[in-house]
Amino acid sequence: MNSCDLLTTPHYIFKSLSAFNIIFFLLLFCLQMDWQGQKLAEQLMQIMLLAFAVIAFASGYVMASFQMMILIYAGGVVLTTLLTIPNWPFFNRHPLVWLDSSEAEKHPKPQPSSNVTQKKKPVKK
Amino acid sequence: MYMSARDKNKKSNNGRASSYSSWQPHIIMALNIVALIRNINVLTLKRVKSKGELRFGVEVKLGLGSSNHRLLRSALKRRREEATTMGWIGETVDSIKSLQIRQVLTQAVSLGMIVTSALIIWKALMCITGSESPVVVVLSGSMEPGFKRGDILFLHMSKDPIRAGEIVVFNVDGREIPIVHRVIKVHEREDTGEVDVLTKGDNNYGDDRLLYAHGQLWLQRHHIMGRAVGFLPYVGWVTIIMTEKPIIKYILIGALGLLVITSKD
Amino acid sequence: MHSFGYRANALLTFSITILALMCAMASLSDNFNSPTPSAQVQVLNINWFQKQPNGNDEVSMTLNISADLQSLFTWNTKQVFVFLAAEYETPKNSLNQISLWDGIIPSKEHAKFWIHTSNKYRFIDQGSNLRGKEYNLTMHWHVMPKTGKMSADKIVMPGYRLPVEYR
Repeated sequence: MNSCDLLTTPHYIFKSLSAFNIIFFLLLFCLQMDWQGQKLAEQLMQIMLLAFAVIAFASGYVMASFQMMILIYAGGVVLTTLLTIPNWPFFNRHPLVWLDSSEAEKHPKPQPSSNVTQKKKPVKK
Repeated sequence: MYMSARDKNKKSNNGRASSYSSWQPHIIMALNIVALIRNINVLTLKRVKSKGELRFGVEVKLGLGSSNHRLLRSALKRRREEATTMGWIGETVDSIKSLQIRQVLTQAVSLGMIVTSALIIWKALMCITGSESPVVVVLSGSMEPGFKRGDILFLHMSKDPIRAGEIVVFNVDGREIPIVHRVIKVHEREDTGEVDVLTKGDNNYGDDRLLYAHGQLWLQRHHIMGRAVGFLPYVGWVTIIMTEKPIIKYILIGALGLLVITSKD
Repeated sequence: MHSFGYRANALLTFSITILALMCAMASLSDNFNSPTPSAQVQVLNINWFQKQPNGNDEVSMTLNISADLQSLFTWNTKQVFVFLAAEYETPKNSLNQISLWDGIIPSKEHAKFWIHTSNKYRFIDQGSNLRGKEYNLTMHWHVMPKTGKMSADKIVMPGYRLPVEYR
């Protein structure tokens, strides 16, 4: 039993890890951020790139090395990419709350407020 | 101590021309690509706004689907809801149709705007710099290590007299591709102000008389198309790759086209 | 839609715009550099001086060139192209510039040099006006930046004279 467990455990870990990886990857790259997260990501991207540009230019100028400027800036771009492009959980702190369908039924939509229902009328006969 | 241009000479690049290709079609294409991507963004952003109704429809449909499982529902209510569904579907189809037409029109208009604005920019550059092709790409290494293959040069054609040391772009009779080389000798006439100019590539062993038309010893003013004033490294590789491997160009255009077509969520 | 692709595109566009701005600023920062280069040239010997069969005068000379161009180098300098030109006037031509020697200086460490050389390019006049001709030797340099605007300047050294007779 024990030996068998020892043999199988890594396998399970691997399996669960790979499943976790796939989900994590999906979360990171395929799902969308919430609205607050989008704003945050955009601002973070701009601020980080600008900050790195300033640092890179200053250090390049002081050290009299164009290459240094390019390297620092490239590093900054890579870091910014890693931080702002994947959909880190960090960007999903304010998820949109959708009404449950049963909830929606209990509380019918306010008819007059939506333009859609008004437009719909001729279709309905 | 110093590195002489002659010492830098490698292999048999004697008489090699530092030619360039026109940047024009590619700059327009690059602008198009950039604008297409931006266009997609604008469109997708727009769609979020108009998506309100779409999402609404989807939501109602989903709501219906789950409520169908409920056996307690009265037939009348069900019929009314089915009617609503039909209405919703029709509405959705209509809105998608109108959206599509609007999208296609917007895309076409903005594409036209991009092409024309790129042309305007190009022509304005031509006017300002007075050169037929204000931006050129270096194709060969006869000016190394100054200009490498794939670098971009900005040309300027002014009335100023040509002097030794300037890097000029010139056209030789009977030669398709213009050449970018440095002026090493100048003789300017007292009476007419005409110039005789001899050029040489920094990385070439000898002067350019071998490259000139047969029997031509000097370049005149009318051969010279402009002088290089600015420099940008590596950017010209885009052009070189696209001219030399047209497949990549088509793949890029195709991919972008697909992106445009399929960018409807 | 604020997807992966949208964010990647926004980042790419923004980063390239900033890179272009940085390059432009680097090019502009060269204007703050006020170079103080120096150069001396001696004509050690006129090796030969003759009239070609087609009637043009040709001179061969030995030169001793020393220069300090270190101050031309800034952080945005890729290389300095330096050349020595003989400049003179003739009745027919208001300006003759003939490059006698040139070199590429790849870095600041190589920018202080002296060299003993005969003229690398042939010193041929358009015509036969070189006997006893007074000419300037001008040290020109052409600074090639890593990105941006190229610049050029020169030091004129007047008062050289060619021999009165062919030899």
